[in-house]
Amino acid sequence: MSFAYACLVPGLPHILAPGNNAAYRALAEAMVRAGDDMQERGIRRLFYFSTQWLSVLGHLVQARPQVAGRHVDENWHDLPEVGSLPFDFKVDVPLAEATYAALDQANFQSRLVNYEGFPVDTGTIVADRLLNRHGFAANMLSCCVYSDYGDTERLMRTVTKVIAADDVPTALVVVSGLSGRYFTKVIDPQEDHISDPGDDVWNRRILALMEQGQLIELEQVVADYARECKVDMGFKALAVLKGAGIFDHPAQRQLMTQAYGPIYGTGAAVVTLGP
Amino acid sequence: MKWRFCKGLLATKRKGGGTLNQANPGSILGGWLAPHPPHLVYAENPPQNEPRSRGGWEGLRWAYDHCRARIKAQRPDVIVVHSPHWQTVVGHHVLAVKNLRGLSVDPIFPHLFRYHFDLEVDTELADAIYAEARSVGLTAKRMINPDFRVDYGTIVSLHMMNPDWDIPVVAISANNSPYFYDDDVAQDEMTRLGEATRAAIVRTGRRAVLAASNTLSHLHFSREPNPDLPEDMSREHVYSQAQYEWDMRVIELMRAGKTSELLAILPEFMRETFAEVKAGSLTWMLSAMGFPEIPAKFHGYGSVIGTGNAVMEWDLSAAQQGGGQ
Repeated sequence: MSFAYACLVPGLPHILAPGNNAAYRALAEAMVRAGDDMQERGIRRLFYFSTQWLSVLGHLVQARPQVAGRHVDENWHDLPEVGSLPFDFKVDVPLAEATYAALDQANFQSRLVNYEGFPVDTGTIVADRLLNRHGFAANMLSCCVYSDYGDTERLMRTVTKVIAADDVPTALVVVSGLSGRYFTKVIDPQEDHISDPGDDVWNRRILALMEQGQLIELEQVVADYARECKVDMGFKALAVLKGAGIFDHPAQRQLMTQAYGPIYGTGAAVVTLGP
Repeated sequence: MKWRFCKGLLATKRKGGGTLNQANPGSILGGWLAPHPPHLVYAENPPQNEPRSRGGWEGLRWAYDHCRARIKAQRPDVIVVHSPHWQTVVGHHVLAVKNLRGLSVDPIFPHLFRYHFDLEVDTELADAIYAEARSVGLTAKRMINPDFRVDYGTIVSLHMMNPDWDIPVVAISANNSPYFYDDDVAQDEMTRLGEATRAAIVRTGRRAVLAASNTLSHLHFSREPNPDLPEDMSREHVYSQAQYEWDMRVIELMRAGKTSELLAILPEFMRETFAEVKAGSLTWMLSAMGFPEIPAKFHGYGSVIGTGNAVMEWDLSAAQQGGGQ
């Protein structure tokens, strides 16, 4: 079985304590619903690809059975209530080892990570706190800064074969923002909005194309989108979803936007694989 | 720009508030270009770092011996470091927790760097830098979360400069404005941050040493040359001749004391070599020192996974004793 479910979610901690910000709350609630949806579908394992876990010499694969601790984001350390983020992941180690072996076989440089104190990225922690209220196992693969669109697609095709080799229903969770133009000053969360109206137009266009399964057109515009909107990691998320086969059967499975809004000027969306 | 001694800076109109230490105004003793590849600490095998190595990168590591000796001789009150690996998008952040302990595992090189840190922070100076930064119109924050994991750039530079950790420190984040604005805006921010740092040092009466935790050219290998032996020096080399020549050009300008000329070519250097100085640490430090047109001392150069790294010193106290320029 390949990935039984997939979602694209934001990874900024603001949505963990939304306060009176309706957009933050909508994004968080959509993620909680996605987690409940996964539970109902029998998902037992999450496979995280977060654009906030960066690597530079190939890819890293988390392989510590239990990854627990407290995390403080280097930028958002002073957010009320969520400045320190406790986390506790239970990793499917055989899957991690199989992933590593497959990547190595496919000539991707990779390394297993099994260290106390390893700094799990903010994005994965935020996503897991909202999506994983049902005790799913959680595996993680780093985002190599120098892996281009084609490499990333091939990477995920390799991973997907590994997922398909066992019978554990698994959801792909891509943690990524959309437009990446942050406000660079302190703002009142109540006044948060997409910092550039042009970014908003672009984000909505991309989400519409994803919902329509228009992969060819998406690939034609993704470079422009990435450049013009400073998209999180050049919207590598699209290559991850494509490599995982999420666009392979548009008649049967479609992506649906469950929530969209700003987080500190950037674009954020919760997109899930339906029906 | 002309080099100005710190004593001359006392006349600078201050806007940051607080009380100027009139009896004992502070000064910047010197500044160091202090590159931070985690490989250097890994190769040293200090007790704080968990992984063990067979050595490696001695040319760079031994270059830091000069820094260690100089710091022992100068006995500064504080070392202030600006690190590209503490990246912030909303303003310039200053470490302001009196004592920070913990385990810093490098997310990129966890097999090389798992360092048990124990930092004494000069919080009075940190608070002063924060206040001065805000007073010159910069967005700034104090980092007061006691759970904070200090980044490896900060730790590596500080460890290599002073492995005894017996001098308080202040760490400043790299606001990533270079990646949002053009380079001119970014370097202007770093210039103002440097001025704010200098004003805070003077106001608090500190004798400070500065550290710009920057690599020079930053294009590097896309694969670890020998994953089974990271310190395999037979596999270490400069990334390219072009990158090497750029590094030498920059170092030569530093050695010649041509600071204005150096600043003029930094944007091109950043574009051509992905130079890490784009993060602003070098500009911040030069600004804090008043853009001194004095020769920097070259202590060593070496590549780490292909990146170019130099240990360089601007000795302001010696220049001041010599009468300046």
